Amino acid sequence: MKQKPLRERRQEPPQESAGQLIWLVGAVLLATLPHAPFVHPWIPLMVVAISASRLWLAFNRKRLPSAWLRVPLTLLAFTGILLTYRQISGVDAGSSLLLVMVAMKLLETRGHRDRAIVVFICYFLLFAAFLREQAPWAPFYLAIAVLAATTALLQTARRDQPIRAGRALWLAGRIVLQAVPLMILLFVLFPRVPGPFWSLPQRGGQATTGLSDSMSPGDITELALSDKVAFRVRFDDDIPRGASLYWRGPVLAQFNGRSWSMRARSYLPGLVDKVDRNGDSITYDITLEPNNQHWLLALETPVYWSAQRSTLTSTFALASFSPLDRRLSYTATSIVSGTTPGNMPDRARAADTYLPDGSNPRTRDWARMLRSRHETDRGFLSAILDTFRNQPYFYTLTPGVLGAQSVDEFLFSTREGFCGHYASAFAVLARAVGIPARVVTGYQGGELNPLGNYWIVRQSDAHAWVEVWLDGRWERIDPTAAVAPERIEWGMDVAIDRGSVGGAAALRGSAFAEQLLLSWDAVNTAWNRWVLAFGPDSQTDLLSRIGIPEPSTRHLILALTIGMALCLAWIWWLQQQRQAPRRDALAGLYRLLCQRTARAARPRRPDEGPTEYARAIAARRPDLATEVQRLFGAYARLRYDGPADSRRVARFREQVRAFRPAATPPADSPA
Amino acid sequence: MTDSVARIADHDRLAKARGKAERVVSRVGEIVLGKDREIRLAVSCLLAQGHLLIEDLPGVGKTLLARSLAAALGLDYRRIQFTSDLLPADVIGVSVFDQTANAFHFHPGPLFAQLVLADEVNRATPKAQSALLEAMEEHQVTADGKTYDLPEPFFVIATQNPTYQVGTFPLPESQLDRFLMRIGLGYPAPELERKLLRGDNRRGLLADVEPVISVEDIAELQAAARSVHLADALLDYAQALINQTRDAPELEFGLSPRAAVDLLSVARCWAMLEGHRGVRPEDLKAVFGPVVGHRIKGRDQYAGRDAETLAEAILDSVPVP
Repeated sequence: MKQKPLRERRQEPPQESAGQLIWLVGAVLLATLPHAPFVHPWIPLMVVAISASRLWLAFNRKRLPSAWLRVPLTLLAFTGILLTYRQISGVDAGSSLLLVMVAMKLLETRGHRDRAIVVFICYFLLFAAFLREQAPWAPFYLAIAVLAATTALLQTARRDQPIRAGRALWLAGRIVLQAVPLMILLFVLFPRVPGPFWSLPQRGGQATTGLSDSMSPGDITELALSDKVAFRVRFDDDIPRGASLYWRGPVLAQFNGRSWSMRARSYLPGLVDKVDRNGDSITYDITLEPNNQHWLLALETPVYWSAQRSTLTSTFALASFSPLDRRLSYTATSIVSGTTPGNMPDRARAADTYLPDGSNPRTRDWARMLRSRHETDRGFLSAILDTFRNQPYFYTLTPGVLGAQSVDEFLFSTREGFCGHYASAFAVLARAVGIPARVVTGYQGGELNPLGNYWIVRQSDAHAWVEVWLDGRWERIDPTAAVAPERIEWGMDVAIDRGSVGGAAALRGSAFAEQLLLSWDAVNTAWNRWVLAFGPDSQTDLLSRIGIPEPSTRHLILALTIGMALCLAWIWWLQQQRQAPRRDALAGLYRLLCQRTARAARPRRPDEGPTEYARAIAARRPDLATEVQRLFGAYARLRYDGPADSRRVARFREQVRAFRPAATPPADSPA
Repeated sequence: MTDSVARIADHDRLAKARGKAERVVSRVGEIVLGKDREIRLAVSCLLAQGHLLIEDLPGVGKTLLARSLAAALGLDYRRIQFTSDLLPADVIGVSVFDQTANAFHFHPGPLFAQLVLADEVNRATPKAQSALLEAMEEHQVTADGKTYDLPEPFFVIATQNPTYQVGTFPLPESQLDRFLMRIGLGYPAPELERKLLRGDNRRGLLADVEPVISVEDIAELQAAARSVHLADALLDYAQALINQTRDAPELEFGLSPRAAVDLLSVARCWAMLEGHRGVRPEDLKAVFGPVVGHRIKGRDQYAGRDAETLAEAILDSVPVP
């Protein structure tokens, strides 16, 4: 008996070749990497360890572990996940589960099916990676990973005919590239559902950065050290000079002697109507980084904003109803006449001039003394600013620690502070003489990125200033401007030597690095603006611009379904065209004939010709011999002996249809 | 209408040709017992105007097959015994100075025959081998700057000892490619061997063999073979087979286009002998191993495997449409 290596391979696939396995393991590792920083470290370690041992087993021609090892190991891993996360749903636990599954599956890749499962879990992991990382480089990484996974799939799919790695890679590249137009089409047309459908439950315990609802001395200093981007702004028209860019956040009107905090928020939806709209207006787009807080930054005083589920508070700050756990883009229009409207009933006046009894006595005495020297409130206030300006007060990131009477200590002993200290002191001084005052926190200034023509506002631009009630309006006064005018004019980097801060801030020293950082930020911003922010509104907008007004989700789904069906039909038609010469009537009849003989005796091996097969059937079923020989002979003549005329094909069709052999030979005939 | 008339005419011609070819096969079969398949392959090879390489152990009947073919076909037969000291001139012929004519006169060598048996071709040095192989390709020889045409038809049946035997110069791949087909004969079946042991000297029978067809008949048979139909489905199959030799990881290299053309022309002759009007997959499969075997080479762990096995594996891995 001669050996038939190729046929053996087809019937019982042997272990994959080393190359195949390397691609498969590579695909698994590439799919694991995006999740590695987010899941508990033991999970990626386990994936790497199992991948390495799988390769070791293959290269040393060892047997794969038996079920006795695999099943307990799997159960152990599942228990580990349960113990780590106390659940098996959610992004972290879910991806951990997938990671463990794909690693365990690697240990039992015996056949094509197992390898295909590994690849499909890889695809799913890569898809889930978008929940982790949506930076502009992420699609490129994922494209590479998908390429590797597809290569591995192609290598395992060609069972009877192994495919070289280079060729598989080339094919996979073509497949991935061919998918790109479809991807873009789906990106544009796939129905976007507004609301929480897209947002998965957030990973808990995420650190919050940004402005908080209260301010103690030194709080803003922490922010000033952070180079993280708070938000980006693009102005529709002229870009105002940095000096007027006061981005209002939470308004802190409650003072306890040491720290400022917010009053319980009251939402006044009708407030917008009270704004005098005759002032200069400015419109801008803000893309806010997620910070798990409620504040939507805006210039004073916002009269229009596009963010949903948000409101204007009584202090004219914009607040979202839910914490900002995703990047949010909105357009806002502000009236920039420099003051914030409001009204001041007596009760409110009492609250806004309240100072706790016995707090900061020296400050209050000094304020009363100073007020008595000036005729007007305004004169008094500018005298305070003059004091800050002319006396030895210092603007520093590292002020001394302040005790309970923080303002007293700041004004009369340490004399050095950050914007928060000055704002706090100024507001206390104003309140001490009965002028309603409050601290406003937010951001001031920002960095213009000329490449994308937008402003980057970082956490280090966090600022605090004061609003005082003068002449029936809230008026902004920035005491920091008196101490360190360069901070307001040029930003934080100029005001304070931050060489010691290190990190990206230090990098920003060199012009080239600065250019690089700005370019990268511009790419990021364009990505956020054009890709990530493509939500239901942008979709409707785009579609109506190309002539599909008011597309409803239902219409989109319908259109997509029809489009998909057409695509599939087209692919099917192409396939048909390609196989047309083989799928003619004669081929169909031959298949039918083979099906019938397959039931009666055995199926035709793919490599058997008609005559050979007929002979084999005849040997097995002597009762059918004549009939089978005649039919297969007729087929061979029609198929191979020159052009078949249709009458003979028709006769052959009748014969085939009439041929219905019994599944088992009749009892009296020799089997 | 004319089409079907032409087809019927073709049919007749094919049937007649088949009858004649069958007579050759059965006549040779009377002398070389139990080797029906090999005889048919050899006849197909000659009808396809190719040269035949028989590779087997000494004494299994290689020479007998060649001589009986020559006798049955009525061809003028010469034999060249290749040895390690054979010179090209011993094959081609030499120019001898004729004193009376005062000129060189060419004495044709044993190559000038219609059927040449090159016995144990791999015992000669490459130089002598290439003299033969060049003649096979060109159907002419060149000696002292003059070109001499070889007789038509011109067939070479070369025999070769298995290359592992001592004192052999294996033919390089490029020269093996010049042989249309390589066959082995193998030991006879036991009952036939018994007949052989009991019976007459087979060589003695050769003297009695009369040609069953003429040289003109051979040309006619060759033309008839060329009229055997090649259906699209068959060409698809043939191409799939050829591509498989190029893609299969077991093989060092795939078949050349020349090999592909050879494959189909032999398959046509085989189909004609089988009485088929068109080449069927089975015809192709029957000649695939002999035509392809000496032109492929196993790679890596398949290197030691014999060519027939590899060819078989290729056949097994390609579905018949």
